[in-house]
Parts: sequence; C-alpha cells; structure tokens
Amino acid sequence: MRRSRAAIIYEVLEVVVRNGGEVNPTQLSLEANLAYDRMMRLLEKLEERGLVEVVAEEGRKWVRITRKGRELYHHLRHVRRILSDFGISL
Amino acid sequence: MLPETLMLGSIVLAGAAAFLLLSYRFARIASLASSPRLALAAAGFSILGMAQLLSAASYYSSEARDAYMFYVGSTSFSMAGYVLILASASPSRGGGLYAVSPALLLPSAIDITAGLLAGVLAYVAGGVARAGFAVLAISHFLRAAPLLGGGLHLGSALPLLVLVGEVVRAVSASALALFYTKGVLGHEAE
Repeated sequence: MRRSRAAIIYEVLEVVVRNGGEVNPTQLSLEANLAYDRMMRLLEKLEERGLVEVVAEEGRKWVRITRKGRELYHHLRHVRRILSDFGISL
Repeated sequence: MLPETLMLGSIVLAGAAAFLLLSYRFARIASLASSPRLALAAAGFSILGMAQLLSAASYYSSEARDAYMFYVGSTSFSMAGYVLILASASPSRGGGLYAVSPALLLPSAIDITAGLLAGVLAYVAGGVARAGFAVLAISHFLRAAPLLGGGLHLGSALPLLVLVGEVVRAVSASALALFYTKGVLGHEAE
C-alpha cells in the first residue's frame, strides 16, 4: 500500500530517534525504505520546518532530529493509536 | 429550567469543548506532518463539537421554535461530522463507505441517516470509538422513534423514547470526546 506523506515523515523521524537522534542519510534512506533523492528532498522540507537539521562534519553528512522534531514524533506516535480507533491512518 | 436539563446541558457543553480541543490538537499535528487525512478528521471533530453546542442551545432555548431549529441543526452537524471522519478513514478499514451516504439522505429522516452513518463509523472504528459510535447510532434511532415506531402503536411511549435517545446521544458523544481528549492531554502532560 502507498504510504502517505505523513506516514513517511513519521517513519523518517522514527528511524532518526531509533538511531539515537542522529543518523547518516544513506542509512536513513535504507531504514526508511525511501529513495535517496526523494529522502533528501523531504529532509529539506523537514529542515525548513525546524524538525531536523542536516549537518556536515568531517566531510560526512548527518541528519539530527531537533527538539521540535522529537515533539512531533512523540505526538504522531500517540495520535496514531487514537486515530486507529477511528479507522484513520496517518 | 429543570436541574436535569442544566446538568445535561453542562455535560453536552463539556463534550463540545473536548471535541473542539481534540480538533485543534489534530489540526496542529496535521499541519506539521502534512496530513490532509488528519486535517479532514480535525474538521470532522470540530463539526461534532459544533453539533454539541447546537444541542446545548436546544436545551436552553425557551422558544419551542428555536429549540426545534437547534435540535435539527445538531443532527445535521453530527451527520456532517460523521461523513468527514468517515471520509478520512483508511480505505482498508471501510473509509470509502461514506460514498453511499448521499443516497441515504433522500428517503430517510435526518436521525435515521445520522444513525446509519454512526453505525457505519462503529463498523469502521475500533476500541472505545467503536462502542461510542454504536451507542450514538442507537441513540439516533431512538430519536427517530416517531417515524420508525409510527406503525407500532407505541402511543405515549414515543416521547419517552425520544427523550431517552437524546440523553443517550448527548452523554455518549460527550463521553467519547472526553475520553480521547483525556488521552491526548494525558500524553502531552507526560
């Protein structure tokens, strides 16, 4: 089944949280099951909204979740259960 | 005004506040997560909140004509809320069923339609929401008792059935809203 944009955002945030709040884009792309180019475009949007930050350290890129991103992740995780009771998925 | 009416009105107003708060929380998350489905559900809950407000207005109206207007309005808003929530439900859970609702509007009384929609929502939903919508469906059918029971010679029992239906609808809708609002607020307080 095709994932909605919100479901993809949730999964991306989940992967970052699962990896301790910081992950490299290649690993993120693999674990979130998302094409690298598509994921980088999504990360730009998430960065604009202050949910993640993409930083370069020693020639390598890292995706870090921000406080706002962590809050959204926890809200989404909780709301998903409530929505499921109403037959609604993200 | 009777104390029972005041008490029921207070319960209904608490339910309205809870639905509106739930809707606000969902709308905020929907905008951050770019979720049109969640936004649609938020709209549905806000309309259910407005239905509760109209319901309270019908209790507090001294004019029978105004009370009737608010009563019909509350059912119409409930129906619109159910349709929006149903429209936002996943197709795998029967979300597409809302498409049949316009066909039901034509031949049926408004409470029968609302009862059917609440019944479909009970089928689609799970957990406490399923029980809540099932009770709401029954309450709408009770409110439609004059039409449904017309041929059954129920006589003086009809007004009582309508009254019971209204009390059940008001309390169950508020309980449903309060339960899920408590869930959202409880999580945010953690």
